[in-house]
Parts: sequence; structure tokens; C-alpha cells
Amino acid sequence: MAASKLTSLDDAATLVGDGALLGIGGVLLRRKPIAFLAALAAAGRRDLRVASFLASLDVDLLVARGAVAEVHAGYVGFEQLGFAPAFGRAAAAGEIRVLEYSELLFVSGLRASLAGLPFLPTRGARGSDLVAELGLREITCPYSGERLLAAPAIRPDVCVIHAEAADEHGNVLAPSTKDFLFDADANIARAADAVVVTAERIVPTSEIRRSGALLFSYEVTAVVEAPRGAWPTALPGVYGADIEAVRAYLAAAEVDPAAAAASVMQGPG
Amino acid sequence: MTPTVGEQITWSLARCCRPGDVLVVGVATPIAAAAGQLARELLVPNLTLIEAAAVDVAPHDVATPMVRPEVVAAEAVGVYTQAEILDAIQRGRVTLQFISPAQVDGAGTINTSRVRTSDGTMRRLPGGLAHADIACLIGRLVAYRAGHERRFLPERVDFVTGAAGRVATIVTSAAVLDWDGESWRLASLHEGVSREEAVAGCGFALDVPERVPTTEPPPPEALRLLREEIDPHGMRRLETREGRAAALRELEALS
Repeated sequence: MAASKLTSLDDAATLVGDGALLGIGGVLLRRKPIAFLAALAAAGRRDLRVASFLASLDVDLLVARGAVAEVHAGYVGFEQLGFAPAFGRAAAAGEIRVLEYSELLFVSGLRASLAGLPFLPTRGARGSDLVAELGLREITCPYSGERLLAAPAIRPDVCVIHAEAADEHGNVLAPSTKDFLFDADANIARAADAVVVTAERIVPTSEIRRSGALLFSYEVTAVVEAPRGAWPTALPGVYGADIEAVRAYLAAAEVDPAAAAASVMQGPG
Repeated sequence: MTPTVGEQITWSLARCCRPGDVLVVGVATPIAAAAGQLARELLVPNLTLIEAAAVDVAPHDVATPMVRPEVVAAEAVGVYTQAEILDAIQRGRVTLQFISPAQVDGAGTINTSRVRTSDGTMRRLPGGLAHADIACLIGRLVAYRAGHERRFLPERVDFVTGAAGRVATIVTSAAVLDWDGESWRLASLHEGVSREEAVAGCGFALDVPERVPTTEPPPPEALRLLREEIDPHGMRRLETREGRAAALRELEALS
């Protein structure tokens, strides 16, 4: 039996160094590993380069706490609730570098990394100003001569995701419901060199055998028990997003982003 | 029954669906989601409706995916993975999408990334999601907005998120515009809107035919379905300036 990978939020946070490329799981206001990000910010981490497919509170909180140098994302916002206040302010002030991806460019980058390849060809984003901004190059198909974009691999140093349950060895329970992009966390985790999983519950392996795994133990570096660890974002099938708390953050962050973020990062109380 | 702006746009979008279409609707666009369901119920029974990544979800309140996404997934025939839905789009299997970009210009180029403010600086928007991809991969795009002004319809976009070529129709709070291969043509005017207003709201030269019909208003059955079954909580108001605050309060109460 493999050794336990159970650790604390603070110890897991030491896996992420200053300047690291940090992959963050979750999509929009779902499954964001907020408790772990709070521990990172509390540890005073700086200059993080953050990769988050469709970001919301995850990126905004880290930016508000001054932990971020670079953001790689296809979206950073709160859908109908509004724009990301700290992110918008820092981007306008030139305090962070923002690399906007299209969804196909981002996911092609993850899939290249998943397969251990340096890039993946794609037909997405052709003719977009994003291509030059990201410094993307084209390749020619050796069979047809078609010109394709080469989406470079996205390979985070560390990735963090939040799940309903995991065992102490790092087997992660597959999501109980297949909501929008239920598998995205497995993609960004497997694209990374190290993986931190925070989970609502630590369960015996037998429980994961019954329902199936999202990630296998050998793919995971550290496991942390973090009840309500995605709050105030949702963990579909377990709890919904706390829209009232998110809106309160958005209002407070207009005035003082750092204080608003610190307040959310104290957790649901 | 007099339709609101949001209801008129919803019906005009629904009417863009054709038999056999595979329609994908994205996140945070309740009008697009409502239009897809309305089209499936009343106009195109064989429409394949993909909501985010969930395929052929049973009829439902458009507020549900915003507050209980897992319910919608459970009511779907199936759910694509993150890679599968993008593969389907890249391969060319998706024929139609309704989008709400910040700008569509006189060439049909779309911008969802950043806009120039009055002081000349660029303001970053949340981001283009898959707009750069779908602009060159999806059969037809229909762009919509509950507004009709040059800021939304400029001569040239401030930033090219998605290349020109696939936007077939623009639906605004005032009119429906069709791409005729070279320029935008005024296809119809919503009830009570003058052609002068429609022209004034465009930053590009609008082709105005001699006779411009009135946009078909939503029939009573469409309004009933929309108000009672598809969008009883009025989430369509989230996409209109005057209705947004009230709809947000309702959304919060539901969550």
C-alpha cells in the first residue's frame, strides 16, 4: 500500500514556489479550489503565472492579494454578475500580464501536454488578433499542405483542483454529476508536473472503487481535506454557488480589492 | 400581448434555426438559451440543442443551469467532455451558434476581448471564450444585443477576437440585419422603429432596401411558453440594461 499523501493546506502550499506556473481547476463559478488559493496568498506567494481555462473568483482573489504576475485564460469574469474587479484594475494598470486564449487554443495546449507533445495543431482562432498577441506560429501539414496553428503545450509546474472526495493515496472520486466541463479538472491536472487535490471528504479506497476515479493515486502529489473548499463557488451535486457572497465580494472589491479578497479567503465561517 | 425587447430578440433568434441545425448555446447568455428551446418547441422539432456541453436537455427553465448546473446535465441525453465539444466544433459538426459579442463590424468581424474607451485607452473585457474559434469553424453565427448603437455596430472593431465570414445575421433591439455577402442589409425593423433610427445606430453603411418589412413579433404561443415555462424568472432581462438589476435579485433569491 502506497504511503499517505494527506497533508495540510499550508504544507501543500509549499509545493508552489514564487513565479511558478500554477494550473487552477474548476470552470467559471464551479469547483474553484478557493481554500487552497487562500493558503497560497496567506503564505505570501508572489509572481505566480496562473493558467485557468475559464476563470472567475480564483484569479481575481489571487490578483487582489498581489500574488500574480501573469494570467493565461480564455475568460476571467463573473458571467451575468459582472466583470472581475481586481483583475480588470491590475490589467489596466499594467501590473499583470494577460494572455488571452481562445478555448481551442487553451484546450489544445492542455492536450499537447497530456500527450507529452510540444504542441497540437488546431484550426481554431484563425484570423484572430489573439494569434499574434500570443506569439503563435503556424505549421504546414506535411500531407495536405494545409496551414494550421501550432498551440504550444500548457504544462503547469503545479495544478490544484477541488473534489468531492479522495482517498489518502490520491485517488480522486469522479464527479457525481456530469455538469458542464465535469472532466476539465482531470485535463489540467494531468497536464501538470505536480497535483494538489483538496477534497470535501477523505474516504476509503473502497468508496472510490464503487463510483470510479477522476485521477489515480500515482498522478497526485498531495491530498488535503478541505470541507467547503470551493466556497463560495459551487461544487456541483454537493453545494451550489453562494451568489450572495460572490456579489458581496464584487461590491467590496470595487472599493478595496485586497481587503475584500482577504475577507472571502477566511472561508464560509 | 406586447413583447419586450428581450422577447422580440429571443423570437428573432429562434427564427434563425433551420431543420437539421446543430445549435450550441454558451454560458451566460440566457436569451440564446431561451431562443434555442423556443425554436425546438415551435419551429424546428429536429433541432439538436447543445447547452454548453449538455446535449438535448429536456425542456427546462433557463435559470436552472445558472443555479443548479448538475440538474441540467442530469436531464440531458448526454454530456460532452471538454475536449469532445471542442472537437465537434473543430470538425465542423456544429452548424449554428447565437453569440453576444461586444462589437460586430461592417465586415462581420467580432470583438469580445477589449474596447476603446472615450479617453482612448483599451478596456479589457472578461474574454472571448471560444469566439475566436467559432468565428472560423461554425456554420452560421447570429450576433445579438439588446441595443442598437455604433458602439456595438462600428465600422471596424477595436480588436479582432474572431475573423469575419461566419456571422450571417445580427439581431438588435431595433432590427434584424442580414449579411448579403458584401455588406449588411436591413432585413426587418422591429415594431415602432424607423429606418432612420436603424441607419443611425450603424457605424457602417447599411444597405436599406426600398421596402423593409416589420420583424415578425413572437406569436402568443411563443410568449406564453417563454414567460411560463422556458424563462418564468425572466432571466432574459439579464441581457437588457433596464431589466438587469431586477433579474439579478431574482437570480440571487433562486440560488
